[in-house]
Amino acid sequence: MECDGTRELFLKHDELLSDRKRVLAAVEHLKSCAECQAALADYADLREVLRNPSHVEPVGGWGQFQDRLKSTARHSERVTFIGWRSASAVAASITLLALAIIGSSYLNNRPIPHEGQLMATSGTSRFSPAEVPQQVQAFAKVSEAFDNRASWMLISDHSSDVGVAETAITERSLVLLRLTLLRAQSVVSKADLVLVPGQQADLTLPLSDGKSLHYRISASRTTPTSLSVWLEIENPQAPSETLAALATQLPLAPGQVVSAGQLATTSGAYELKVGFARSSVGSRKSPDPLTPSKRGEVND
Amino acid sequence: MKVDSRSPDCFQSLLAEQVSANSRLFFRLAYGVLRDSSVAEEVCQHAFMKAWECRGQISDGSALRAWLSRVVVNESLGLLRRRKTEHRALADARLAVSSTTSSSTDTIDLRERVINAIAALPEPTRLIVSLRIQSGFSGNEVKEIVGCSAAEVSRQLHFGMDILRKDLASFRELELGASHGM
Repeated sequence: MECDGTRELFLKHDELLSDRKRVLAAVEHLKSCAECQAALADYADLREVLRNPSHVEPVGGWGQFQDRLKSTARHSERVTFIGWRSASAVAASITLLALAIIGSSYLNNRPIPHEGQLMATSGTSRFSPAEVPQQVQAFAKVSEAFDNRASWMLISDHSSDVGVAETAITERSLVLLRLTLLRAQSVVSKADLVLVPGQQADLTLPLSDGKSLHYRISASRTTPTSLSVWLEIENPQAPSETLAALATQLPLAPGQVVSAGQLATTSGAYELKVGFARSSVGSRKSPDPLTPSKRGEVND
Repeated sequence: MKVDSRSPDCFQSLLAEQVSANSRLFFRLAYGVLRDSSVAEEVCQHAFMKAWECRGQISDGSALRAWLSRVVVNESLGLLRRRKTEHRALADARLAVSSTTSSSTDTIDLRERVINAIAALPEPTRLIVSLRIQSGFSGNEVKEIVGCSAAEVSRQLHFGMDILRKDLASFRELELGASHGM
């Protein structure tokens, strides 16, 4: 800047003059203060490390980015649902990853039921003693990846999913449910759900014939556990069309397998069996981003 | 502008206003943490969806800007942490298979360390540091976005930078220790 411009600025703005005095005083102080010199150097380093490259633009430029955001704003209600499914897909990959990490051969070794395969429901709907800690440990891993916000985790033969709460969950007890859907004594869907009592799981499972199951399940914090189950069989050709629905409230004791009821459709009747177990995870602490969490130990 | 949170049309207009006025701000905040333009955009989209879900809690336009900024920063930091967790877990799984003894923490660089330290800052310090240091907004701009006084911005920034400096110092000590150990 030229002398004239500088002087003009000083004359124009009294506050600038005041700022100049402060800056000069700061520079003077800096000359003799090693601590402030170090702080200034650190600030510069931190800015350098964190500084954004200024030239970066969204894909297609700012105009297209704004159009896409405006579209989100216009269709927020609808997009919320799509976004949730997208989040679920990410969560599903983490769920599977967590299972791989703990070295569980649970998914790989478990017999995969096919439609038409007859299964003795009393045996397969019940959790074995070995399965409970495996599932709890998998849940603990997944929850850790989500900053203790996992409210439920689903593992089935064809998909995995996880529910994530807005805030960290401090509840330590867990409810384990084995949801087995039968048609003419054959298993058509089998899924294991780990659920934090007091939370609601809202999930969709595909069926091999193209239909899908939509569950909404919540468990009470009380003992014995009261399970609230809502199940719809949906037609994928017409998502708003429900082929059959079931709503029930079940009092459950650990180790129990109960029939939640039947759903009648034009292609036959379905029956939902629910296997139940309870467990808990180790203490849930607030996550410390700089220290790997030691959480995840199994209590039982 | 006061908003009747029960009116979806009104809230959607408010969201559209935020896109026109502040989309660059939101993108810069997300990109500053994530350094990935596609993911940064996803975070912005998610913030708008979340605003829709929480419309009952947001009283007006300026509150919405601060709210969206906070969500973008927090979601970006959370997403980055989850990605790092996933990458480390994969690295650990690979290490377990190959039985090597090196630690995946060796790969933590200074930027990651500082970002983690920002994530651990309390609110509103976290947002103010992100706006001022990562995104390069002036103190006055930060004051407007966050909706607090200049003195509060200054105080929070000082507090946050002190914490980051301590973290920087411990990182340097570790680096020094590692280089002496070699």
